[in-house]
Amino acid sequence: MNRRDLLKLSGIALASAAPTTRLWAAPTDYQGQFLIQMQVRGAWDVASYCDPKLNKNGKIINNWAKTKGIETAGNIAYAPFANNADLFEKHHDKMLVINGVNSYTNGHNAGQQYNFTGSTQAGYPNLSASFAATLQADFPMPLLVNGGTFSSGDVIVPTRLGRDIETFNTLLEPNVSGTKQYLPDEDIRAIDNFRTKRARDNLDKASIAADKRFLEDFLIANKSFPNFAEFKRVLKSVDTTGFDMRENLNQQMLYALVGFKSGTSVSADTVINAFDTHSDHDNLHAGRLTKANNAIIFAWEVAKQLGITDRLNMFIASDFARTPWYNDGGGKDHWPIGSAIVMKSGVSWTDRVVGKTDDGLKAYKLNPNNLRRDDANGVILESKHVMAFGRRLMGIENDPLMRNFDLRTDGVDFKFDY
Amino acid sequence: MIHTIRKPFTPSWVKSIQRLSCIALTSVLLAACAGEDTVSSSSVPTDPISSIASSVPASSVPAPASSTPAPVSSAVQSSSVTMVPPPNTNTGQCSNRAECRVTWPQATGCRDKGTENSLCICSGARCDAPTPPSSASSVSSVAASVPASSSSVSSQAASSVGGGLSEQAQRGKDFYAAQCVLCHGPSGDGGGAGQTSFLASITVGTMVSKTAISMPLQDATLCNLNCAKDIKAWLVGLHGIDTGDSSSDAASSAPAQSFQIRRSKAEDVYRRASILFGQGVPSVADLEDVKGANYGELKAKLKGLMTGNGFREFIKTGANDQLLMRGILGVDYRFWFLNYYPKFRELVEAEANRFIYDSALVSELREEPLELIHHVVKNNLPYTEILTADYTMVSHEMSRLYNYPTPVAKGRWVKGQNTGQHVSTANGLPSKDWNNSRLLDFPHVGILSSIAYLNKYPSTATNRNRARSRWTMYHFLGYDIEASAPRVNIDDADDSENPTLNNPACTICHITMDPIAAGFQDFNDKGLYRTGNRALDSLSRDYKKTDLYENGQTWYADVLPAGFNGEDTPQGEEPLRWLAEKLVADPRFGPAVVKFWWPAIFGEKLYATKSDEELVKQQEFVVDVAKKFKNSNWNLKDLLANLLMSDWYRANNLAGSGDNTEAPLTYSGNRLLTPEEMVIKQKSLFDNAGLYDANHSGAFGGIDSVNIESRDRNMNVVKMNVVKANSYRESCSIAFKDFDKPKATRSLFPLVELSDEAEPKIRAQLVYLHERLLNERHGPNAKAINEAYALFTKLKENAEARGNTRLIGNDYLCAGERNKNNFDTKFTFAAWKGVLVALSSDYQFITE
Repeated sequence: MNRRDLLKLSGIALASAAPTTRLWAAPTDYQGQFLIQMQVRGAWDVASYCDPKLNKNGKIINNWAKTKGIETAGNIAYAPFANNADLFEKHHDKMLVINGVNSYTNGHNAGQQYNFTGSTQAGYPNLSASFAATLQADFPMPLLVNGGTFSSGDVIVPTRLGRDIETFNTLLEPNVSGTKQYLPDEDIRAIDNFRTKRARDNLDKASIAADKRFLEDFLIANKSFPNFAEFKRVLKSVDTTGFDMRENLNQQMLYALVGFKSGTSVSADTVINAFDTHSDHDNLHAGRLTKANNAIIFAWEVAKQLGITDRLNMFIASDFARTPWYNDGGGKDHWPIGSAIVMKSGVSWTDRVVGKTDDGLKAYKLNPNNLRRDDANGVILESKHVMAFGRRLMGIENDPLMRNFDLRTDGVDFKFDY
Repeated sequence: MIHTIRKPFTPSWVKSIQRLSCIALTSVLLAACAGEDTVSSSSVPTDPISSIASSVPASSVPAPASSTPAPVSSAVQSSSVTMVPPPNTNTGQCSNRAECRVTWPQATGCRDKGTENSLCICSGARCDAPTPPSSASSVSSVAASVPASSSSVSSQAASSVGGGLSEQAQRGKDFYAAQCVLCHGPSGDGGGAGQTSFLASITVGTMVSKTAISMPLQDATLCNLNCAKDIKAWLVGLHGIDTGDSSSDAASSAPAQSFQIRRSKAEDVYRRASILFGQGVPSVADLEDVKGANYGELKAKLKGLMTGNGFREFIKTGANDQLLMRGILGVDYRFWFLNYYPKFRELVEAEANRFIYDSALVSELREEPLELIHHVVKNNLPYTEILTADYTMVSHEMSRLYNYPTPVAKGRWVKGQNTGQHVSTANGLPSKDWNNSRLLDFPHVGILSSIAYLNKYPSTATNRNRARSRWTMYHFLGYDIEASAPRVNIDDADDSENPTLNNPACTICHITMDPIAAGFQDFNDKGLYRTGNRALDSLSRDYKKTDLYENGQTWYADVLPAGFNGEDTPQGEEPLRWLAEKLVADPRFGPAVVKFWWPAIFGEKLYATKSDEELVKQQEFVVDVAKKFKNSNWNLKDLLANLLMSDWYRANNLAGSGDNTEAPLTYSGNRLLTPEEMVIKQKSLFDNAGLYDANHSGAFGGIDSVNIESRDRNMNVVKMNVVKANSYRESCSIAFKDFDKPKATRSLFPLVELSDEAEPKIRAQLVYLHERLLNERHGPNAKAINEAYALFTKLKENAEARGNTRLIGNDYLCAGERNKNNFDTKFTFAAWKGVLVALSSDYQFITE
C-alpha cells in the first residue's frame, strides 16, 4: 500500500481531493493523549539503572556495587548510580519498568529499529509516528522529531524544529517582527490564495508520485495555522528555572510539551546520544544518564505547569543494554537483554516492575497474563511486545494504519496495564 | 618502517569460512574469485532511458545471469565435502591455554576448562581441525545441505536436482545455496547460531522486494526481482507457505502498463545542475546556448559546471552528508597531540587562549578528508584515490600541526604530507621538544588515515577498530554489516572463550568485520599513528599486560588478523594501504560510489522507492552506470554527469495508460532544494542568502553532522514558515535594491520602471520573473501570467486603498532599508514587492 492509500485510509483528505473545503482549524478541543518517545541511543546500562545488579562471586558487574546496595523507590528498585535517585524517588509512581526485554541483537541499528518500532523490518514507523499518524489531520505539526533512529513508516510527515529556540520563535509568526508586520494582512491573503491555487493546479497535472506527494505536503504546510501564536505564548509561559536549557534534550522536551499544550502537536520523538560506553564506562555513562534523568524530570515538571500531566505518556528505550561486566578498558560492551520504561500519571499499573532477569542479566520467561516467571510455558519478552503494549496504550492497535505494520507477536499480549 | 614481527595464527578452517564469505558475502560465486563480473552485459540496458521508459511487466524484466548461476549448481552436484569438524580428539585435555600451547603453540584458549569436555581452541576452531577444503568445495559443502523440498528436507542437493522442483524453484534453490545459506540457514528459517529466518517476510509479502533491492547484502545487484521470485517459489514449496497469492509469482501476471516519460529539456537539466553544483541560476544567455543540445553536448555542458568553489562545496557537502566528518567534536584526541605533535604543543603554549587555536584547528581537520575528495574529483584523478592517495590536503592550521615546510595561507588547501608526529619511546611518551631524529614516517592512505575519519569512528580497547571496519564497508562497499546482524540468542552468547573467534553466533559477522578492523591496526583509539613501542604498534596498554601479548606484535592475537574477503594481508604490506587497494578493486566499490552520491543528486537514498519494477530498473541502472564509471578510469565528474543525463533525473512527467501512481517511475530528479542549495539560488538571483543560512538550516531540513545526521526531505509546516518568513522579510529590500539600479543592469526588474502601469509591460515583466525564479516559460497571455497579473492588480489596489506612498508604511517593515517619501506614488512598488513575495514562496521556487 502506498502513502496515498494510507492517507486515504486514515481519513486524511488529500489536497487534490478536497482542497477547498478542508478546514484546517486547530483542534483546540482535543482532549486526548500525548506521547513522547525517548530514544536513548548507544545502549544504556540497565544494570546501573532500572535493573540493578550486585556483584556476585567476585565477578564485578558494577563498581558502585562494591560499596553500595540496591535502592528502592516505591516498588521500584534502582541503582545508586549517577543521579538515578533524583528521577526514581521523584517519579517512581509514574513508572512501569519492564526488565528482561530481549532485543535479540548486538547491532546498534537493528536494536534501535526493533526497540523504537517493534519490528526489525525496515520501514516500520516509530511508535511516535504511528500515534501521530492516526490523528495528524487536525494538527499543524502532529509529530515533532529530533533525528536519531527515526522512521515515519511513510505514514506521516514529521516536523523538525531545528536546534535553536530563538530561531524557531521567529518562524512561528513569519510576518511579524516585534509589534510590526512585513506585509499587510490583505496582501498576505492575496498571496496565499495565489500560491495555493498554483500548487493545486499543478497537483492536478502531476503524474509522478513523488511530485504529487510533495505538492500535497506543500498544500498542507501552506495552510495558516492559527495556533502558532499560542505556541509562542505557551513557550513564554514555561518557567524553566533550575533547568539547563542549553541541554538539547531539555529543549526537545520543552518543544514537545509546548506543542501539545498549544494544540500544534500530539506526539514527539526525542533523542539522547552517546551511551555507547565501551571505555571509561562509569564516568561517561553517569554523565549521559544524568542528562537523560534531568530531562525526564524536566518534562514532567513542564507537563505539570501546563496542566497536561494526566495526558502525557512517555516511552523510554534504548538499542539494547550493556554487558554485566567490565572490559579491560573499564568499558561495557553490548548485551542484548535490556529494559524499557513507560511513564504515565494517575493510573493503577505504574510504580511497578515487570519482567525479570537473573544475576547475570539473562531474562526469565514470563507468563503474559500474570507476568510471573514461567520457565516451562512462558515467553521471553521482546521489544515487539513493548511496542505492542504501546500501541494498545495509545489506542491505536486496531487502527487500519497499523494493519500494515503487524508486529507479529503471535497473539501474545503482555498485560502490563492490568 | 617497522613491520609486524609475528602475525596471529589463523586456523585454516577459519580461513575457509572467510573464503566462503568472500563468495557468499561478496559478489558472484566464481566471479568474485576470478575477478569477473558475471552480470551479463546483454541483460543490462545500455540505454538508461529505455530502461525506464518502457512497457514492462515484471515478468519481462531481463534476468541477470546471476539468477541462474549454473556454475553453482554444478558445484553443488559434484561435491560431497563437509565442513563439520572431525570427531573431537582433543577433549579433556586442558585446564588453561598454556597447557594447550604445549601441543598447539597457536592455541588461543581452552574451552570448558578442566572438564571432560574441555578442548583446545585455535582462533575459533578446535586445534585439531582438519585442513580446510578448497574454497569451491567449501561453498558446495554448504550448498549440499540445502534441502530440495519439503518432502526431502534431509536429502542432499546432489541427489535432488530435478527431484520434482519446477525450473523456477530450482533456480531459486541454486541461487539460495550460493548466496543466502550462510546467513539464513539451509532452508530460509535460520537454524544455526547467528542465522536468521526470513520466512515471515514471505507471508507478509515483503520478501521479494526486499530481496530484490538489498540481497545479498554484500552485493545487492546480484539478485534481481526474478531471482527473488525464484527463491520465493522454492521456499514456498519447501515450507508449504500460504502467501495468499494465486501463484508464487503473482506480480508477473500483472497486466502490462504503458508509460512514456516526458523528459526535462536540455536547458532545464542545465539549470538544475547549475544550482546543484553551486553556480546558481544560469543567465538567460547561457540557457539559450544550451537549448537543443544533443546528448553529448549537454553532457559536456554539465561537466563544464563542475568547477570553482560552488562545485567544491557540492562535493564537500555531498561527501559530508555521508561521512559526517563535520561532526567530530571530541577534544580528547587533541590532548594526544600535545604528546605526539611537538609543534602543536609549541603553538598551544604560544597562544594566549589555546582554545582559539584548538577550535581553528579542529574546524580544518574536519575538512581534510572532504578536501581530499574534492582534490581528486576536481583534478579528474581516479576516484579510487580517495582511499589510496599517499598524500593528504593541508590547510593553514594543519600545516602548523603537520610541520608542513611552507606556511599555507588561511582558506587555502595544498597537497602535502603529515610530517609532524614524533615517535614514542619504548615505555613512554615522546620527548616534548621537536627532534628530527624522532620524526615519524606517516603513511597516508587516502581519507582512511585522516584524523577526522579515524575520530569520527573512534575505537576502544575492546572495540578494536570494528566501528571503523563497519563504516568503511558501509561507505565504500555499500555493505551494512549491522543490517545483516543476526538475531542473537542469549543462550548462544557464551563469552567465556573469545566469542568473536569461537562462538558461531558472533563469528557470523566477525569473520567479515575483524580482518578489516585489523587493517586499521596502526592507528590508536584516537586515530594517531603507532603511538606505542617506538612506533611499532597501537595496541592497547591493557592488552599488553595480558599473556597473549608478545613483544613485536602489532595486532591482537585473539582477533582475526588483517585481511579482506578471506585473504590475509601479506607480510610486509602496510595493512591499511593493502586494505584500501582491496576495497577499490572490489566489484562492490563502483555501485557503492553510485549509492554514496545518489542522495546528493536525487535527494533520496538509492532504492528509496517502493515500486518493485522501479527497484529493479534502478538496480540495473546502478550496475550499468557503475560500469561506465569504472571504464572512465573512475572519473567522478563523468559519473555525476551520467546520473544527470539519465531519466532518473530528467523525467518530469508521465503520460500513458493506467493509474500513474503505479507507474514504474515513482519519482524524478525534481525535488525540494536543500538549505545550501536555496542559499545558492537566492544569492544568484537576489544577491541575498535570505533565511536559508546556518541559523535556519536545521528548520529547513539541514544537518549538523552531530545530532542531526540525515536530511529531512519532506515538506512540512516549519519549512513552509521558513519559506514564508524569508519571502516576507527579504522581498522588500531585494525589490528596492533592484529598482534602485539603472534598468539595464537590473537582474529582476529589467523590463519596467515603477512608473509603468501599462498592462503589456507588466505582463512582460511577469513572464520574465516566472522564467528567472520558477523556471517556467509562458507567453504573456498564458493562464499562469493571467493569474499573476491579477495578483499584481490586487496588490496595487490594496496599496492604493492604504494610500501610502512611502517605501515603508507606517506599520510595515522593509528590512534594512531607510524610509523614502513619495517613493511609490503609483503603488507599483508595493505590487511588485508582493509579487516577489508570492513567487519566492512558490512551490516551484523551492524545488528544481
